[in-house]
Amino acid sequence: MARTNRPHEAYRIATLNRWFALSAVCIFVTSVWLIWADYDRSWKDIQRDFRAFERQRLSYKQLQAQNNIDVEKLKNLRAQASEANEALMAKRERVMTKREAIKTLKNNLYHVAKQQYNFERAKMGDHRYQTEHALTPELLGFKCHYYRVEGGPRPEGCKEGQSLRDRFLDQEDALNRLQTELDAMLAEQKAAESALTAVRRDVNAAQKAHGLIESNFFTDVIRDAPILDFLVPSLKIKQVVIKDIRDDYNFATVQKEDRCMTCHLGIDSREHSIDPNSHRFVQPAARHAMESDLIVLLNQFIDAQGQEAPGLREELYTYLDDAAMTLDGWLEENSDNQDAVAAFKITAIQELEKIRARTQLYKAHPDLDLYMSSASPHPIKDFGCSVCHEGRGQATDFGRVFHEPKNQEQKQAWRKQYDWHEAHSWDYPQLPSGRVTASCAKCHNEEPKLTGGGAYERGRRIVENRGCFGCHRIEGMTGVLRKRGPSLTRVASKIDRAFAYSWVWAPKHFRPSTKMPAFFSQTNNRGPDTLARTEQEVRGIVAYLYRNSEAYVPPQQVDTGDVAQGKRLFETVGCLGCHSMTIEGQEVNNHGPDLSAIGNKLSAQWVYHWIKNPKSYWPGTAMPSLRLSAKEASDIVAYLMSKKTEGWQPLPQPAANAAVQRQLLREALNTSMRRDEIKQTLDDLNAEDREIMLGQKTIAKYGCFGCHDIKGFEKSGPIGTELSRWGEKFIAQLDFGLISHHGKNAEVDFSRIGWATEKLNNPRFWDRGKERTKSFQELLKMPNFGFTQGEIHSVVTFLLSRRNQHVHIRKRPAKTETYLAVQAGRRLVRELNCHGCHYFDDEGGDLARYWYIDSVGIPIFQSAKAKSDFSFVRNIPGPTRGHVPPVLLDQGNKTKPRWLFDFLHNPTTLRPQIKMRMPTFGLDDHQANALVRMFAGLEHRSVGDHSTFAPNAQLASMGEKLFKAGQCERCHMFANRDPKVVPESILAPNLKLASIRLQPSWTPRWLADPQSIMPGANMPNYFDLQAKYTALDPDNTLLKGDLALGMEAINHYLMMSGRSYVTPTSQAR
Amino acid sequence: MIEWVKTVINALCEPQVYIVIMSLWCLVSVWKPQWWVGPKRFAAMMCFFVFLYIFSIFDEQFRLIAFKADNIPIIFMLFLLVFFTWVGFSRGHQNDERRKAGLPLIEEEDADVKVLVWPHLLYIELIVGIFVTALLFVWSICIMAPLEEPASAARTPNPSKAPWYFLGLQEMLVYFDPWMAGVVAPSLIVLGLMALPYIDTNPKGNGYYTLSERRFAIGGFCFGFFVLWISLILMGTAFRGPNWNFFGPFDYWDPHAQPVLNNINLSEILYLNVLNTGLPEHWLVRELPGILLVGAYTLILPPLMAKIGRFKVFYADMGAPRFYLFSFLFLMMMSLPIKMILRWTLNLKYIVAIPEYFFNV
Repeated sequence: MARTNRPHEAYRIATLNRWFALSAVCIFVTSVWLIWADYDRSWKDIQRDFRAFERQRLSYKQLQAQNNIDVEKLKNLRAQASEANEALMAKRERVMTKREAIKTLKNNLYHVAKQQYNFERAKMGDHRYQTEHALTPELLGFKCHYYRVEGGPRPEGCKEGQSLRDRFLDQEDALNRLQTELDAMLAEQKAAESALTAVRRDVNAAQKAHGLIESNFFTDVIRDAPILDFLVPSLKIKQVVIKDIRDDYNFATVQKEDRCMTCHLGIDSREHSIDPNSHRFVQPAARHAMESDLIVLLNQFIDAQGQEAPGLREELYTYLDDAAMTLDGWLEENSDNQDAVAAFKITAIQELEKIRARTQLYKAHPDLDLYMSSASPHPIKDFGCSVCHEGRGQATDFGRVFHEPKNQEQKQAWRKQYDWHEAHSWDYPQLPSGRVTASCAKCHNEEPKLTGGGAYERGRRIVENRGCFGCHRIEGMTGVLRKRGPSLTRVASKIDRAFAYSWVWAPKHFRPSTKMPAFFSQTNNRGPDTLARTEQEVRGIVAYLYRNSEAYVPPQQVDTGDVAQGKRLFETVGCLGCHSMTIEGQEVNNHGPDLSAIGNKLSAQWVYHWIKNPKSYWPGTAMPSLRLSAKEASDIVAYLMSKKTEGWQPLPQPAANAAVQRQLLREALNTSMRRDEIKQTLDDLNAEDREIMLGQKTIAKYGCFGCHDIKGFEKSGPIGTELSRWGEKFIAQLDFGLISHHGKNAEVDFSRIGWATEKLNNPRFWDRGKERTKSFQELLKMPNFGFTQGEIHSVVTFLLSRRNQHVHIRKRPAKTETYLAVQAGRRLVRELNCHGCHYFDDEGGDLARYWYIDSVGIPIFQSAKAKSDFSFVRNIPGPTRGHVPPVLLDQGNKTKPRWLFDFLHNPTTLRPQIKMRMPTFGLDDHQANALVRMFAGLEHRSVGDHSTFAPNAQLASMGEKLFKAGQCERCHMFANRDPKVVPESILAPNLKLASIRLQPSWTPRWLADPQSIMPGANMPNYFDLQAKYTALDPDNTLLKGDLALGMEAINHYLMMSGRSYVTPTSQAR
Repeated sequence: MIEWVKTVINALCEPQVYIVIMSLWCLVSVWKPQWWVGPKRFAAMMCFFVFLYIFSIFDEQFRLIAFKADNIPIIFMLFLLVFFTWVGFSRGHQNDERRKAGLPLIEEEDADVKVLVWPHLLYIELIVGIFVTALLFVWSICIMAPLEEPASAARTPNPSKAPWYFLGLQEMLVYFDPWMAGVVAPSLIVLGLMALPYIDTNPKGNGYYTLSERRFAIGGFCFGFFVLWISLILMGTAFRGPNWNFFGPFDYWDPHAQPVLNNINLSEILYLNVLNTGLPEHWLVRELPGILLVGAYTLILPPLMAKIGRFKVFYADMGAPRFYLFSFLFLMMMSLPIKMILRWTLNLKYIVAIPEYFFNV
């Protein structure tokens, strides 16, 4: 600013004025900018765009509805309406008079009478109140000064009111009479009108919806103008507020507020649902609105081609209706001029990109039956979005929601498009798509099986199956589930030392499919020095196990068996329900180990006693008994022993190295002893004991007891990091070691997911470069499970689900008796691997894949390769089902709880045609009850149902006739004891057992419609309830048309006839 | 080459080097103003700083720190401080030159010219006020508030930093017991600043800029304010990373870095390293040397100071009470750089360390 030399003036005022003007402009511009910055929100643009989309959609819908109207019908209706109108015109005079009369009555009398009555009624109310209160002091024994009634109660007042009321009601009756008369005159015309409206209902609805968002100056500009938009804006933030679900801000929890639907505007509307395969809108209106620009473009393209090939345009519209076809494909097929296509493609692809982005934004939730909609179990107003998806639900700006890209490409695209960056200041960014199911555990954590649980459910199964909880404490698993590996308390009698060493060193050397992970020769311990140490450690483990192995001497010798017979038995008796035999191509089940080279590992004598009675070697085993006879067992042993990999040798065991062993022991004892004590201790031991001591320290170090029972480690706890709250871990708590995770050269994602993914891929990854600085004892110890990428994805998703929850108990599934019974039962079913053989609860029955039925109905065994996506109901035909373990659908309604309980304890032959045996699991009562309750719970009932059913002899004899007529014995066994020979036609259970086995209410239901209970069942439908016809009584002589009686009669017959059943001898086996 | 320059800059920012450089700069600025207050030289210096800043911006790590929304005002502050200091110093130097040449001072030139407050003062204040408001508008639109994750008692930020204006105090916590750095020192700063007008007996420099007439006062202030306050704020903001470890401006803030930070007390140096006698049992015996040293510093040094050099003049001007108060405050101020130097040279933790009674100096 210009100083001046003139007296009495510090600065030149004219210059200051200019500066002032400049400052004024500045402040004006910045103020406008400020208001605009506050006003201009990305979600408003999105809502505007959505409104345009909706306008287009609704007008198209209206058009479509218009086209759907049957023109003829409309014409007829119109004619009817005009006829009615004309008829009305004829009696116009009378109608007018009537209307006039009604009007007069209403104005002059009715309203006046009503008014007078209402006044009087008000007075009466007041009067009554005062009277009652004037009485109160007398009743209560004290005097009240506040309520006085002048002149006491006024009965005449009531009378007056009554007469006024009568007058009013008379008027009302008169009015109603007139109205009825008028209505009668108008009835015909009204009916015609409403028929017309009904036809045009869809059109009108669309019109009305469209009217609400119609484009006009007021809606588009005035309502949403800056500053004015506080009044009635058309663009506004939409939100749900949920009191029961809390966001945790450490010092306070606050109710969840989700505003996701401010931009995801079609999320809960079926009109906006999209096809999961083509990712296009399912509803034609929405699709058209979204793709109309593309249609215009395509039309122009066709025009530009200049050759109006007949049908090309029609084909285009077919393309637009056929979601499966791609634009590329269409273009390739329909143009000879490839240059034009190439030029056009660029525009079209841009347009497609735009469509894709908008579709992504406006689409409905992919599973509206399960989420969002008000009829679903998770309505949006009760659950919101971020309770599952995480992220910052309150935000209405793309970046501040902390959306999470699903992969690197998307991350890069988002960075470019939305200036996306990692969530540094939000602890729980959104779960990437494909991992959202991690949030299911917030409420469904206690459910061992979660249909629709996706990656979370798969991950949970892997964690349970591979025994992660053995080393890592996981609430609800550690201490609850059984250890994953076999007991080693008697291991010396099972395998030899050379095998044991080789197995511990590299489990996959013997059995590539083993669940046992690899601890040794991993990336951080395969250096020459560490290798020497780990070899001595494994020697120590073996020495410890053999020293601490209890004596177990198999009681009897084994007879020589027949290999071919053994093979047949192995394949048909049920071993394959849990085990696989890879070299024979039998890989459907993998609950138990693969037995491909079992002859290299075990002795015949040991195997004989193991399969004969697994619990004699290991009382806690999950392996059930198949009640094999000595001959059967010998045959199977012979077969199994023949399964040897020629030339397979255990890995060589290095010699004991005393120096290394001492060194290792010194390091291990370092934390608990002084140096001279260590020396003393080591000197006091001989070489063998030192090795055993090393083994003990090594087992403690690697936590072998997490999966195996080992003597001396009965009370040891998990050695790994607790994972119960892993999903809450802050990234700073994860050690990224020396791996670059920052900036442009990052090798890994700096996120929980990135860290855990690498850890599972190679558990020693984060030691890279640290092998040289860490001491041997400090090296990472987690073993390598050899997970596939898919498995890693699932397990990481499971880990993300381990979180403290802030969901109110009201929002969680109610812990009813049925719910708890089903959960407990499912847990047991998983442990026992019931699904290996049986199909129920939408799962299992894979064993059936080993069987097919040839043309003459003989069941043939076939080897089946690895488990694929397999649906029992769809893939296993009826006849095959007759020869494989039965489907257990509707079990809770079907069998008597008592029978099921006994059967589980002691299986009896029910279907003699099936060669497979229901094993004896040795369940205790508690477990058997759990299964019985689960089956009841699956049918939403409790076990405590009592029936007062008593068979009626008369009905039973009628039933017998029907039974014979139906030739039921052709398929159903109907014998009082186990038959020696089973006819080939037999496919179904022994009906002599029905009275002790079936619930009396079930048989009629089953007869009425077997397919509704067991889709694809062999049982024919004898009773056609629609046509009231049954083939069992074609001329209707017995039943006289009462089909229900017929079903009931058969039921009575079965319940009666089964009483002679003899306890089968089979259970003695 | 660039990496080499960055390494050199990183090394220069090491606390010990940095404090020494800052102190020297402060001394030179006060005693040799002619070296830098010329407009061209100053412009060149500022250009150099701006160049350094721009050069540094190309470094990702530097950018991360310098562009943090809450660090931007600190960068502004640095440039503004240097500019206004220069204004004061250059006027003072000009006045000194004028006085030498027998010319009237700058302020005397229009001393007899009187103008009205309105419009001559208020108008420009209004204009400046509007411009600043506009600037704040733009700032608030363009730079988002630096909000962080919800605060958690279980997880405090690393590094945990005081508000920027207290980072100087926080730096003192590295060298002093929290009781000293957090209670005694801040109280003394406030009380000392309040006492200054009553201690200062020099009537010169009122209403005009000068350097030569108040060299000690200005030098002392510059040392206290620039070196011990502002530059420690800069250091706390830009060079103190996770775990309050030191990081150069181009270093990655690695939370896993483990610099050597072993420090020992004076008693240990004396009894274990020098005398080799082992630590005495009783704390009084153990800490006696330290207590004596601190006693000597605060009680014996002031009378001695009164006998030497410039302080002798002060003593004569001020009189005993004022002088002892002044010398106490001065010595307290100097205790920070002294303690810093002892830390770097001897790894000294505390001069007096009586953990038995929670008393450490």
